[in-house]
Amino acid sequence: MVLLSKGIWKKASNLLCVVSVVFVTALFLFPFFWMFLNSFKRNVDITTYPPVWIFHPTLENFKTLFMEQDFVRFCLNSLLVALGATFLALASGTLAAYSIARFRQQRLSLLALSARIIPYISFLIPWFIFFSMLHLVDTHISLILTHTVITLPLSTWIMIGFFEDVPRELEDAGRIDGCSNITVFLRITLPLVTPGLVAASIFGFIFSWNNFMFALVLAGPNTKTVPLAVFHFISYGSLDWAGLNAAATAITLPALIFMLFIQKYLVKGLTMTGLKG
Amino acid sequence: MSEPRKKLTEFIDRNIKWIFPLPMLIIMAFLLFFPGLFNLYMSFQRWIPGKTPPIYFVGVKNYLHIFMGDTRFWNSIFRVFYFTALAVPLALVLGYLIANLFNREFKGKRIFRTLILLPMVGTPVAVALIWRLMYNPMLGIANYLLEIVRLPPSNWIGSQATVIPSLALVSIWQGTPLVMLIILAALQSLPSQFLEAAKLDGASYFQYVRHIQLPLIKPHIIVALIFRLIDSLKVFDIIFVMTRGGPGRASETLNLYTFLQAFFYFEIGYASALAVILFGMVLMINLILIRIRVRAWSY
Repeated sequence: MVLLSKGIWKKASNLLCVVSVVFVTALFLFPFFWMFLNSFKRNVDITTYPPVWIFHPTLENFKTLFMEQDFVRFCLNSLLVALGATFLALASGTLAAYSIARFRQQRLSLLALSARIIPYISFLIPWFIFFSMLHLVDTHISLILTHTVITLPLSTWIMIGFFEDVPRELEDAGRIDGCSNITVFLRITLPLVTPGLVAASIFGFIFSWNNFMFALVLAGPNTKTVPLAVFHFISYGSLDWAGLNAAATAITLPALIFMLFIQKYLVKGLTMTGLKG
Repeated sequence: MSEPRKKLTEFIDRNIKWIFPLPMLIIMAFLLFFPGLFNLYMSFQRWIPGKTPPIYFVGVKNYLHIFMGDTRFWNSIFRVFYFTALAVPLALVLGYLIANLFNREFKGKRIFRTLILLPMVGTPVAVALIWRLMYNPMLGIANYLLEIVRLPPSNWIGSQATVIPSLALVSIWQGTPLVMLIILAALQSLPSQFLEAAKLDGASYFQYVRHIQLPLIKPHIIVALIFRLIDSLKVFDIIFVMTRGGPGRASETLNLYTFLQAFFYFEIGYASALAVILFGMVLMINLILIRIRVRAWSY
């Protein structure tokens, strides 16, 4: 009898926990849900109080966004910058991470992390002066280079974790068979860390795509990225809240979908870097 | 393969330990190290646009003025600490509690864990705008929710008294998922025998948490604390988009003030000095924390 009631109590407490998990998750997702809902509203439905939950959905906001504005061009700018910065970081970060993981170079790993710690404003002023002198403000090159500062510590730290998991015995086996160190790295180790490369690319892409501060200073009419475009959306005094929600949804959605894709490597990637910023 | 090329390959092969990190070091030197030094150099100059050369040396005058005569600076320091004091401890406590909720097996655990992480990858500009709309005192949903639970409406980011707590709430929303993730990873590495052994010895769950669980996951809590502190002290995006330092200057933090000095007033030298101070502040706090738990980094 005692045992039975104990079992029931345990089940009940477990159920309570799962219910709380669902509740807390819903709470954290609410702003996204609200944004998503609002992006299908007409302006009259957004500007009513109390807020309406049931309304006649419209795709008009997205149509305006993609047809009448340069939104597609801004997306291409962001895409180019994010891909460039991710590629640079992946190429250099992976090599560095291999050396850090194999030869226990703690100092180098802290150096990579310093890019994550130092406030960006300390670099932004010199960058602005240099890039102005070189006539590189409002070019994709300056944005790609500066965004690399965000993606580099990320990809380095993610890759350190993945390289540390590759057993040394596998590499030694290759060496006994007469492979050089470079061949071992290219043929044995690198293929084993492919998931890490995917995770590092996706995180790099997301955080470069999200960056606002660098573009605010270094971008111009030719290179305006999506966060900057959405920001200008409000500063020019327009109060098109519905359009704004559509734009916000359009730029946030890629990151959210990517996250769902890399669930499996998420924990490793994120806890290794503590990223963002 | 030609002879010199073969030699080069062999040379690289023998020295991958320091040749592999070279590309990263070169990128960091040009993008971080030299600009950082230049920033320090600029902090002793005054920038006068249109003059050739546009800078002249003023020594420590910028710093003197900042520390002696700039109330806007002291206020911005106060605000960033106020913001941090609200945002960081709450994110840590919430993250810890949610991690405990997730620390068991149930159906759909992975999908919920992924979903709750989404706030940290949402584009900051976009989420700041969404929160701004939710905080709107006339038609935002925040006041509607207050009305439902019979609380008086708030002005949120519209009034000087509530703007920092309102911004801190957004930061907590963004930051809690990472804390939860780090602590959850730590909790899952604890063997379940510890809890059973503690129970056998007659310890209550609370005693287990206090004397066994918390001390064991302390390094991870410190890592989470460090990352939250860094992000809080240099918070920029959400404040710039939601209030641009307003109303008045009620949400002007040090990072924001530095940005305004540099790119709105074009006081480049003065802003560089402010940036050095912000850099020093972040560095000092981190060094103290790293000293507390050196090993916490390399887990």
